[in-house]
Amino acid sequence: MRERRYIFISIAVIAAIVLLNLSGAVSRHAKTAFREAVAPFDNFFSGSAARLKESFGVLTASPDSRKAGRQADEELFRLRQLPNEIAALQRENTALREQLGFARRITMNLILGEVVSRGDASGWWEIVGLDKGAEDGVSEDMAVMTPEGLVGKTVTAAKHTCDVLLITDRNCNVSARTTRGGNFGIVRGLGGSSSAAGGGSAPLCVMEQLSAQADVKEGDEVVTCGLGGVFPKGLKVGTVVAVATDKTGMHKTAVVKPAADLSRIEYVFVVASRAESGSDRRENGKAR
Amino acid sequence: MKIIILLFSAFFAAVLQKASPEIGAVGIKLPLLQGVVVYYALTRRADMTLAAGLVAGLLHDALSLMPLGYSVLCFCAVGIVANRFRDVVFNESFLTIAFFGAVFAAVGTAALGAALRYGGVMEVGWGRIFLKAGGEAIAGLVCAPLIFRVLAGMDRLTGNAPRRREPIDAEIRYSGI
Repeated sequence: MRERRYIFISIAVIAAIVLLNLSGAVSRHAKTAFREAVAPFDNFFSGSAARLKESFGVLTASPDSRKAGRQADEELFRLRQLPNEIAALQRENTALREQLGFARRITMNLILGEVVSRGDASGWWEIVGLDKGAEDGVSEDMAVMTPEGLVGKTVTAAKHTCDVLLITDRNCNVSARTTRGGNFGIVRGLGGSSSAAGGGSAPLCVMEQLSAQADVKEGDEVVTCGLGGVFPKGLKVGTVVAVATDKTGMHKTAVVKPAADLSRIEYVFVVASRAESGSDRRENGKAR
Repeated sequence: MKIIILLFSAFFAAVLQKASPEIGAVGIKLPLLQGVVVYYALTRRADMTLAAGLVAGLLHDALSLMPLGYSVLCFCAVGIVANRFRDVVFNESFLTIAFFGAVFAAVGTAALGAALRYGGVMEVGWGRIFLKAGGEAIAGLVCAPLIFRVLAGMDRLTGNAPRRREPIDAEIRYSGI
């Protein structure tokens, strides 16, 4: 009996060692297979939970929320007019750029995705799941954004789904700069904000590696600087809400509030590709 | 049938665990997969405990950003310790199941946190590891008895356990399975 127990323990230890030493590609394929199998059920349960929450919200709607609903309808009507206005402005902008001799700077191929799940099974990471995957052109390390600003980056891509690591996660690093003053730094999440869980608390990030002389003030806008190859240049990350000097006195640290409301995101864009125009290439060449 | 029930229960525990909302600022999840391993550790022999640890660990790793194998190692290790010492502590009461659920969730989470920290997978402080372990212990306290009820019912339904009206743990905990 005792010998049998040791045999099983040995088998389990060997299995764990084999799993831990699988090559990256094999491990990724295995994980993708598991995710694909679970995805329909996961979508069903996550969708049911969201619908339940929505129904509960309708039942307990106060006069204030009904008023807010009317305002939302009005806003929607106004927004429907917006594409025409944008098209007119775009035409005007193109004409002016041509006159100035600039080509269009950045062409981004955006893939619209819906948030279908929030959080991972372990709770260690702040991630959201999207309904778009490898078959839709999504792969690992692609920037994800909303019209308001940066959301995060894709970390896994199965056939029909992908996971996005939010910028509020401690493991998400974004090279960024302030628009006023152009101070460079690294933005990373402060974590523990329950943003992936759809919590109400405001998730925050911190901008590190700013020089001690950097001119950074509350209210400064922070955008991506395009270094690292994952996040395209110029995407809004957030706004500085506090500035402090670190213990050594050699660097400043700024607390950044993300521009996108990460606790309420429903639809996002995955930046699938980015074509640079001639002027952009020239600028990058100068920078090098 | 025993393996089918194990796979089925682990699969749905994984789906529910992933879909469940995170509680608190440190990201506490309902430890349903750990609950499945606890059930097998307290009611079955070492082979089934290790099989449960392997399946639950694989699903846990696959549905998170954890490298494959981390949870397998932690779940199997904690499961086999629970299986080894169940007779020392287990006195066939409902509270004991809850106690084991809490301890398993806390130790499993702390072990995983340490593995992530020292494996260089993510930056995580000891403060967060302890807070998360504490939170999951409370969640495990609640979840483990419920999982026991459900899995014991499934085992009775499928003929894996005898149909007798006895206290829950006496019903499901028997030798030979």
